[in-house]
Amino acid sequence: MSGTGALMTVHVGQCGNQLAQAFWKSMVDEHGINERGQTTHEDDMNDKKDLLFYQADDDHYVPRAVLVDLEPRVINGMMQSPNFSNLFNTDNIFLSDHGGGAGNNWASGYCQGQEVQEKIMDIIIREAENTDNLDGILFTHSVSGGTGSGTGSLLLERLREAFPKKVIQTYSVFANSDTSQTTDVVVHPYNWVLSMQRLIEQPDHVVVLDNAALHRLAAGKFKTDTPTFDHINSLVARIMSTSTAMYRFNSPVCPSIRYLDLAPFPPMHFIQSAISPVVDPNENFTRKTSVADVTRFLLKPTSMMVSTASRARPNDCMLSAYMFLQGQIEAHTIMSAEQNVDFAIRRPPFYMLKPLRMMHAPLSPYVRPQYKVSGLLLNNSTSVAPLFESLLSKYDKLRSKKAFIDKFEKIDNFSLDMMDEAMHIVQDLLDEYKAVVQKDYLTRGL
Amino acid sequence: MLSALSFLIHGKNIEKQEHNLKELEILYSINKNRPVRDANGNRFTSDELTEDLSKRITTLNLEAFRPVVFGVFEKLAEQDDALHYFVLVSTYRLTDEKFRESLEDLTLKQKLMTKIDGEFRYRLYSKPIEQNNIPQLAWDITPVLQNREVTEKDSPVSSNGHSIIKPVDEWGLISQEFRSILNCEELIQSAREGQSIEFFHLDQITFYKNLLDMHRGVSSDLFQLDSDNHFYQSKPCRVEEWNLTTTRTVHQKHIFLANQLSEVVRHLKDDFVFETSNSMRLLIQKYLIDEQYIFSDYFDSLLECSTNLQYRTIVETLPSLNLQSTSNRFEVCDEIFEIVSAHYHVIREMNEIVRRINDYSPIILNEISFIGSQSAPQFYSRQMWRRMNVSLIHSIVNKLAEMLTTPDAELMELLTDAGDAKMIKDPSIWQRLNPLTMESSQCIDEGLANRVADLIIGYQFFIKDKKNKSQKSDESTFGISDIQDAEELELFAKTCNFEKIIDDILSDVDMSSTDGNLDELSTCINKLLEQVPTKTIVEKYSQIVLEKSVRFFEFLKTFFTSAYIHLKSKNILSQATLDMLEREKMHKKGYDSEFLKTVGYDMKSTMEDSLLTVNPPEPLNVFVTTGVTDIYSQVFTVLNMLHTALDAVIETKNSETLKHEPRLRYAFFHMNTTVFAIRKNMLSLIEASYETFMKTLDFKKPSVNRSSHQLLNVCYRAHRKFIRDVAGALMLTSKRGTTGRVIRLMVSSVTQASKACLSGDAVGADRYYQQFQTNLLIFLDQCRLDHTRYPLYRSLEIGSDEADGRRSLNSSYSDDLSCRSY
Repeated sequence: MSGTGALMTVHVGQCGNQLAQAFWKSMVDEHGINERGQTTHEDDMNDKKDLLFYQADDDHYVPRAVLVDLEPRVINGMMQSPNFSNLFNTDNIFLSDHGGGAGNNWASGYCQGQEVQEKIMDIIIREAENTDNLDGILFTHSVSGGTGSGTGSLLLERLREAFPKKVIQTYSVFANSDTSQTTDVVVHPYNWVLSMQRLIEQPDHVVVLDNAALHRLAAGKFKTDTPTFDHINSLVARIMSTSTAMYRFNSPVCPSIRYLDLAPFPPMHFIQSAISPVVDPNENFTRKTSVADVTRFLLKPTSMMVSTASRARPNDCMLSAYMFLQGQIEAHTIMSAEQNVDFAIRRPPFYMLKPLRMMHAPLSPYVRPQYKVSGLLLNNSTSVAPLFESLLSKYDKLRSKKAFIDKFEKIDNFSLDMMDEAMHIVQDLLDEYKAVVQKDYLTRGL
Repeated sequence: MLSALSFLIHGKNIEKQEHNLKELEILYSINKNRPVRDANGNRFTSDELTEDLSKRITTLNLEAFRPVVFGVFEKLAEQDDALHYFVLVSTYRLTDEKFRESLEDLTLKQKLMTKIDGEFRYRLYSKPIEQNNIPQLAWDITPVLQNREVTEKDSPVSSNGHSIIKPVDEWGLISQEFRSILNCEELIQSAREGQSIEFFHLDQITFYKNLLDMHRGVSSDLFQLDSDNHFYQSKPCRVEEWNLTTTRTVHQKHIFLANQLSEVVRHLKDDFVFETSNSMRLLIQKYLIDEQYIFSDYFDSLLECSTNLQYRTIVETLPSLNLQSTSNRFEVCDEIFEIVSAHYHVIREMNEIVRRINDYSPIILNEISFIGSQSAPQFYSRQMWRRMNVSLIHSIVNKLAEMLTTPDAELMELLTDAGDAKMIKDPSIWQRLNPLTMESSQCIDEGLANRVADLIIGYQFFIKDKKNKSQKSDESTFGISDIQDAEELELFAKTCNFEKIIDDILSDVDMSSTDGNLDELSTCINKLLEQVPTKTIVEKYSQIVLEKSVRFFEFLKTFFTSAYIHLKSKNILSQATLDMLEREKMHKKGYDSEFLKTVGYDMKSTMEDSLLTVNPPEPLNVFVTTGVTDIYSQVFTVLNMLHTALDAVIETKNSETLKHEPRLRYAFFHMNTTVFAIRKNMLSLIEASYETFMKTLDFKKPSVNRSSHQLLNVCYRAHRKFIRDVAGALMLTSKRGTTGRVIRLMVSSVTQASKACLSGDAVGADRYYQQFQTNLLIFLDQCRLDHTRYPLYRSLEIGSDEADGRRSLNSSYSDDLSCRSY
């Protein structure tokens, strides 16, 4: 298999679909497509619309997206908005018949999903078969609620089964809050642990989107004290957009998602991200961006968009990372920047190679960029472990008190063993993170 | 009578009247004796004397005084015949100087003449001072009236009849007279030959006529042609007072020259052709014919038998020789000789040129004739060269005008094929396609010559392209207006308006002006370029080509750096896969379908890494020579190999073999990062070169106000530089081909490792990984030779770092990057 294939997106649950909204809004803009799927610009030779869109018989572009939710609110709202009402293929939308949702309960989402999974998989497989060459699936969901985590977990299992060789990359929204202000889901540690097991086992990459960190970033950067989901989702959309720009705009350096090698040691495939610069779109941007300061910012441990970024430990190592720089950058600037940042990167002791790859990601030919230079870092580092430790300790707290455990127990086909198993798997992952920074990681057990 | 005579001679000057009687006596004597006689003793009549005076006035150059002098005589003739005759004779006897002096003096005094700037002018309507209808003389005849000599009859000249000559004087000696007769050359010669001889005794004019005729190739009684068509002097001859020897001496060198000249003229006639494709030859032939006529006309004008001269305007500029004058016959003969010799030398040169006409281009001829017109020793030959020069300038300008406006003009008359653009210094884009040059000379500098040649070739390409395009109406390279332009230009070139333009340009070259300018030709050509719209058309065309070129470069760069990504088969390219490139509608992938057609597969290539060829239509093919295509092809192959390796590694990602083999995982990650980095570096370097390249080609900047045509040259050089940079980026320059081989080795170990891994052979995979490491070291060794690019690859060095995998002892991510310079 070669060439550059297509990508499909699957959006599950309230959060997943809200991300869909933000993501597809920016996709239509970047590919010069209007709300009816028609092109608004003369085609640019570097614009590969067919990566995310397919053309209907009347040549208008339709997103290769599958929207799944157990309650209709978000998707219906989306379908009523003038931006999207004529864009999506309505056959690709799955809404549960009873429409009650999963009640923020992983078990409910997972089990309800079992009833409807065939229908959903039919949609996904049909969509995949309509494409000559599907390279991967982008999956957006949250791991703290019910549908995104529960049904999402089930779908991840089914997707891996159906597409064993395709790249599955999730954009998973984590909730981690000490104050519980940002999430109203008290059982989110349960949901998280259960989802985490699937995120460890199924996808190739999991882009960790920590709600709390996103909130903090939005609140800090945007001129508002109470950032809305729109603010946060716009940040996520930017991460998704930049991370796929290489494939969408025909970069020969990394022509397909298959070439993204972020997880040399699975299951350590949890990717933190950082973006720079971040400013309120309504504000005048007065700073002069440069490759140097964007790179500098992105490589700061505290720039990682996880709430535990400040807890980075001295022995944290970068396993693999991709830095995408966009804007008016000359090729040699990146080359020299890459040589310079090399010193600043700590890698596992057995590494004889450089884990960071910096590259110039193309920009949409149709949209005037907001910044001269902007960047995204997808970082697979052991520094993500504290987030999991923190969430795991929250889980332990709840679990030891058996708090709200009844909500799960009452769901048919769910047993607490699943939860314990998941917990062990997460624990194993954390052990792996500890092991990989040791000298003998490669020779362990020999 | 007395007072009338006195007034006539002295005017009212009373003091001089004392001689009155004596003068009266002379008056009577003169009228009685009529002392002026011709050689036979016949008396001159008053009419004859008047005629003689008239001639005398002409000879003495006293034309201005004619009305005054003849005014007096007319008056006298009316009044008194005796006085009239007396004055005629007295004036006849008066010496020339006295006549002139007194005339100038008295006419001024009598206010009959004015003297302005030393020049005498007759006062209109002025009349001589008169008394009783007798005018006062305006000149002084008193000097001849001093004695009675004036009245003495001229003695008749004795004829030299044999009877008169006395051979022996009274002393019995041979008389003086007879001795001189015996001494006479003719007689001696006759005695020597033992018979009477005949010889011509020519007057001056006849002599000149015969001489000039001979030089014109016409035989006469004196100069006749022998059977070999050589002139010889038929009989001894003497001219006026010259004796036979003198005349013969003079004749000899003239005959020699005339024979030389006629020889050359005969040669020319022999070589004369009526039909030839060589227009220079025709031009010179015509020139030679004209020169013959001018030569002949000139002699006609000298002989004053010039009723209708064809070349009067030219002839009038030549020096006129006074053939009438007897005093300077030697001089005149010499001058004639000089002129004929000048004519002969130029004609002889021309003969040489005609014989080897193919060695001379119009430009060289123009230079030769210019130098001739400046430096030939004689005025006449300078003039000849000048005429040649002018006609060449006319011819060159006309030819250029034709070449610049007519699609099927014969170019090789002025342009020469350099064979290879490398032979041309600083060739233009068109010259690279068609290495034609125009010679430069003193008269046309290299820059202008190149510009003209370039414009002509450019125009030809435009026409060719236009024709090709008009057959295929689907192509939109040319706007309708461009084709119209070309056709209009062609039509325009056939109108009289165009002729007028050319004539205007050429009218600046003054044929009759004696000295030409060095830059006359250049000036005319420059004017032509200004007036002929070809420049605009070629410029427009260049603009189109320029835009197309930039698109073409973009295509080349994208195609050769990324097309392999879209290939289904990863095997080395074959004809089939290449066809597929097209069949798969690569243009859907964003490749320009127009240029996609130009990429082909080199069936003959034996090198594995130069398999692709690019054959774009003219004029874009100028950019892709074999060397350039080779580099593009290698770019394609090397990048394709790396890409293949990357693909192979990626396939192993979900392999079961790796699940429990972190070492192998690391190995594959290592291979992945390495291959990825090499490929990325190469792509980035190519991209960087491309950015520089495109910056050079960013002609829309307002600061760039060069013509598209110049920009095409910029384009060419920039592309060459880009290619060199690309070759450098792939390290093809240092050791040609080595990089390709090393990469091939690396790639094959990567591919084999991947295969082993997929088939579950962990040991094999590890072995190939070791191999890969060895090859990587070789590759890095090679990189080290390249000082500028090695830093990019330094990070690939194995085990160069400290054991804990970092160089900095600071905490994991350094916050102090701010102090680094980028």
